[in-house]
This record gives sequence, structure tokens and C-alpha cells, in this order.
Amino acid sequence: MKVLFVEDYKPLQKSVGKAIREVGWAVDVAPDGEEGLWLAENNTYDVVILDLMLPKVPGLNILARLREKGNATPILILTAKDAVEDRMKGLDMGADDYLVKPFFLGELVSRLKALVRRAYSQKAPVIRIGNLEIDTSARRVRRDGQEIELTAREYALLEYLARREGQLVTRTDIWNHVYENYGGSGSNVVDVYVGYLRKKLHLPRMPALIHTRRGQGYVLQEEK
Amino acid sequence: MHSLRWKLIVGILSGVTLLLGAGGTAAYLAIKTRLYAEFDRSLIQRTVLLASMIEQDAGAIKIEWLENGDSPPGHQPGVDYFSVWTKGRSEALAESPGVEKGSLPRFGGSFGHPELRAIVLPDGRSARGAGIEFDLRQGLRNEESAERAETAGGGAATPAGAIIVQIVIAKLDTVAPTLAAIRRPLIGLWLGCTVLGGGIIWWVVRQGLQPLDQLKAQIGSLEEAACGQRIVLPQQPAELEPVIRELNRLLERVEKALMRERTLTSNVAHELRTPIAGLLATLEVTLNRLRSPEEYRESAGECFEIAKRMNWLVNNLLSIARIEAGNVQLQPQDVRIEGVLTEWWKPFEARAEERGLRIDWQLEHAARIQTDPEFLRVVVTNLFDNAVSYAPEGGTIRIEANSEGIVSVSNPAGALSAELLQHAFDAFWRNTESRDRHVAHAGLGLNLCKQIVELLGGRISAQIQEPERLFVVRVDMA
Repeated sequence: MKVLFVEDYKPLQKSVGKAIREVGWAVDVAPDGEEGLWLAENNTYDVVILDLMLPKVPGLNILARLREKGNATPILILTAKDAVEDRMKGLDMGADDYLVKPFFLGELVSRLKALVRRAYSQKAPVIRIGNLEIDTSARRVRRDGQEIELTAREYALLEYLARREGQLVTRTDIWNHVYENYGGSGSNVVDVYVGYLRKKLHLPRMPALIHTRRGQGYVLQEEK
Repeated sequence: MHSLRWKLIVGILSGVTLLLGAGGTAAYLAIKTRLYAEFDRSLIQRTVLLASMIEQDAGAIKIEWLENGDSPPGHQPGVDYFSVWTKGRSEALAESPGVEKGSLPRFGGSFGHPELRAIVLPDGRSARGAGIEFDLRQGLRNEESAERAETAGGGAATPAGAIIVQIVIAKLDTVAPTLAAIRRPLIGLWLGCTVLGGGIIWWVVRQGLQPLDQLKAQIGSLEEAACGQRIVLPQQPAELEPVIRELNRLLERVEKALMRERTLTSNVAHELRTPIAGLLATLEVTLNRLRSPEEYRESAGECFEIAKRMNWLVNNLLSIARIEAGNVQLQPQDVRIEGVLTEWWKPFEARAEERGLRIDWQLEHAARIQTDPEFLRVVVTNLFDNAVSYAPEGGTIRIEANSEGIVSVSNPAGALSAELLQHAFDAFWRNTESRDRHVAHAGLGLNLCKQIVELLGGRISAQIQEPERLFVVRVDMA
């Protein structure tokens, strides 16, 4: 999963960014409204965390612009403005959630996960595909009851593929949703990680889960 | 109780009662005078008539009605009484029956001016009497010459051989009972008018003062914290208009102060919440798992920086609160500017170096200012803090001071616009939704600077100097 964090206060950029990365997700940080809007319009994110009081472009303007253009990315407003009117205004303008500063990181991360679940129409925190079981809240993966150890990046890749079960996922999709905005294309890196993941998920006498569509991308599904 | 309503009612009622009483009394007195004048006129006429019936005939005094063995004409026994006698003799020539002999008082005026007296009859009833005294020899025909003689002779001298006859006619006072009969209903009418008038006045005053009650009810229903409340009376009397206008103006002022307080509170809350959020998040992410000593050290350092900023913020807020509350004691002394500025700069050196800022010192060596150094320090360090925080990296901060009492701090303006500059000294008090947090944050410091500089009797101004686009804050302490 990939998050855009628009916030001008450095200590928060650093700590929230770190917390999200440690969950295995990718984070792009924008220090002002202008950059935040540009990133949101030119990339695909699974969640946007938006501060309201921002240099250059105010947070609510970003929200309005994105919704106007039909961008449906879940947006969580993270602000020190706690008045009921502010919260109502933010939600009415198209935000999906509202969290007031100061906040607890744990709660922020749980809300982000909930937003992603909702976005991919999955109510339960556990995704099951055949005998593969992904517990997204505990970030644990089992196959046939057997625990599989994954690195943060591998887990993020698996979760993203699992959320789009049965759909064709391009390398660019994966790059955009799993990796931070380093620029350029990282299809080689994607292939390498998909290879790692395949190896770890493979069990003897079990069908493969990740299938390659040559020249297009990957599909995660249980092939009958 | 000091009540407008009762004051009005009592005042108007007293006036009306007094006027009614005075009018009634005047009317009563006029009637009384008129009735007595009528009464007295007929009494005098009768006395003159009876006097004319007394004649001298061959030395004897003849009273005509006695000659005819009759009562005087028009005599009403029990109502009027008469007595005729010769002056100086105690025995009467004629007396009405039913009166004790000699009981009527004896007195007399001239024909022209009969004497009138109030008399109490022997039986205790009130009556009025008229008396005439005349010289029988001259008779009525010579009345005028007699009067002339009287005037000439001083009235005391009696001509020789004169026979002076006096006649007194008393008539029962029939006016008094009539007056008494009028008096009672008059008093009744007066009392009735007073009571009825009181009622009417009470009702009218109550109706008239009703807008006051409505005003009271409206003021009573005002809510402490609500906005946009104004007092509007359905039928506003002209007298209350200025009062209501002033009240509404007051409401508007209170509302503005309230809004200002609210904005201030929410901005203060915002300014404090953000670093607290930073502190919490930094600590929480660090504690999430076991970290290396370097990581702990780094996060502790970050927390320390955040806490220092919060401390700075809180100190500034407290200073503003103290100055606004007005309990500040100034202790001015001779301050050598060069020394204190370089001293106060020290804490900012590290941050300036970190951001690659260059410092251009323009200090007049001998410059001195008479001021309170503690307060000046808050101003100068706030300016230093803003310059170090918001100057673009690698820029130059110019610090100037001269012997004319001017201290200025300049740095490249960066993205700061002239529009934002307008609010440089009050950014913190305004709604900062669409504004750069930095400006709002700097606004707190600059607002404090302005308050302190004004307290010290100086002036502060901020401008963007073209063409180099320098943001200059100038403090004039002279």
C-alpha cells in the first residue's frame, strides 16, 4: 500500500513516515500544499493523509480539487482543528476520515488500514485465497496453516496483490502502490520481489498462486 | 423601591388630585361668594325698606307697621328678626317677636353702606344681620347730605337735636346649609376623580412602559456566547431608540471581542497541538520496537527540540497575557546595544550555521539605549528566531543598530507576500485557515514584539525592501 502524507511540520513528517514504513507500506511526504496536490494528481495512492493548515495551498482546497476531478482515493484529514464544524466541513467535502492532533500513531495506522479495506471492499481484516491466509491487522501470512515469514516489502507486495485477487496487476501498478516515489520505473525490482514472494509461498504439492501474464503483469489467484 | 412606574403614577396622580382639589375649592368659593352676595343684597334691601318706614311725626317716632298693628312687610317669623331703637337708649322701639329682648346685637352703618355682620341667634342658629343708623330728622330724603356731613364732620360729631335711630335686621343664614349640601358631593366627586384618575394613569403608564418590559425580556433571553444577536422591539418608541441602538452597538463590540478571543484560543490550541502531536508521534514510533542506541539518541534529541519550541511558545503566550493584563514593571537602564545584541545572538548561532545562514553585523560601537533590557531581549530574540527560522537556506541575515535608537533585523523575504505582510503583527489573532503556518507562528512573536515595543515607548514596523526583496523589521526606540 502507498500513502501520501501532506504535512509541513517536520517532526510529524518524520515520525508518521517512519511508522507507516514500519507497517510495510510506502510513504511519499509533501511539505506543502502545492507539492501535495501535484503528487496526488500525478500518482496513484491508496490513502492520502492531509493536514489542513498548509503553506501555499490549504488542505481543503486540495481535497476539493481532487474530488472535483473524480479522484476517489481515500483521504484522511489529520489536523489540529478540532471544532465540530471543521470536522463536518472536511467530511462533507469528501474526506473519508478525520483525526485530530495530537493523535496516537497506532490509531492513525488502524484507521489507514480500515480505509484501505473499505477501498478494496473487504470488511474482514483476514484475506483468504484458497489455503492462503493473510491477516492484515497482525500482518501474518499462513499457507495450509503453516506460518510464512515475509519481509516488510514482500508482505506489502503480497497484500497489494491479494487485495486485487483475480485481477491483472501491472508492474507499474505494483511500483506505484508498493514503492516510494523515487522516480523512474522499477520493473526489474518488482520482478525480483515477485520472485522472492513466489519462492516463499511455494509449498510442495500445492498449486502456484502468483501467475505471470507475459508482457502484462501478474495475477494472484487460486487456479482450479 | 426606586420604580419609574410608581414615580410616574404618584407624580401624575398628585398633580391631578391637587389641580382637581384647587379647581373644586375655587368653584366652591365662587358659589359661596355669589350666594352670600345675593343674600346680603336682599338683606340690605329689606333693612333700607324697613328703615324708610320709620318717621318722625310731631316729635314722636312713628313706625309705620306698628301704626297699622302689623309685622313689617314680608316678615317671616322664625326666619328673620328685627330690632329698632333710639341710639343711647336701651329700650327698643320695636322688636320682632320670638327674640329675647335686647338679644340682637346693636350696630349700624350708613344708608349707603349698611353694616353687615354674622350673628349667632339666641337659639344658637347662625344668621346674618344688617344695621343702619340714621338721623330721623333728616330722613331718607336727605340721606346724601347727611352722608356728606358725616364725611365732613369725621362721623363722630352728631348735629344738635338729632334723633339717631338704629335698625338691625337679622336673617337666618340659609346659605350655609346650601353650601354644606354642595360641599359633600364636591368632595365625593374629587375623591372619585382621584381614584378613577389613579386607575387610568396606572393603565396608561403601564401601557407606556410596556416596551421597557419587552426590552427586559429580550435582554434576559440573550445568550452569553451566541453571535448575531440584536435587540429589536416590535413597536420601538423614539425614546428607547438611542438606548437600543447603544445596546446593539455594545452587543456588536462584545461579539467582536468574543470572536477575537475564540480565534485566539483556537490558534493557541492549534499552535500547541501540533508540537504535542509531534512529540507523541516521535515517542510512540520510537517505543514501537527495540531500537539501536543511535536511534534512541536521535529521537530524544528531536523531542528535546520540540519541547524547547513549545517552551518558547508558552513563554511568549505568557508574556502577551501579562502585558495584556497590565501588570508589568519596567526597569529602564542604560543599555549598550552592541554588547547585548551579540550576547543574545549566541543561542541562535548553531541553528543559523545548520541552515547555512550568513550574518551581516552593522552595529555602531558606541550606540546606547535607555530601556528595560529584559523586555528588549524578548523583542530581539523573537526577531532573531523568526529570521533564523524563515530565511531561505543559505541567505544572509543583516542585524543593524545605531546611536539613534534603531535596531533592525533583515532577511530575504522568500515567499512572503505583501498581502501577508499586512497581517505580520496580528497574524496570530486572525483566522489562519488559508495561511502559511509559519506566518501565523511568526505572527505570535511579532505581535508580542509590537506590544512590548509599544510598552517601552517605541515603534515597530515591517516591510519588504525592493529590489532585493528583503524582509525588514525595524524597531525605533528613540
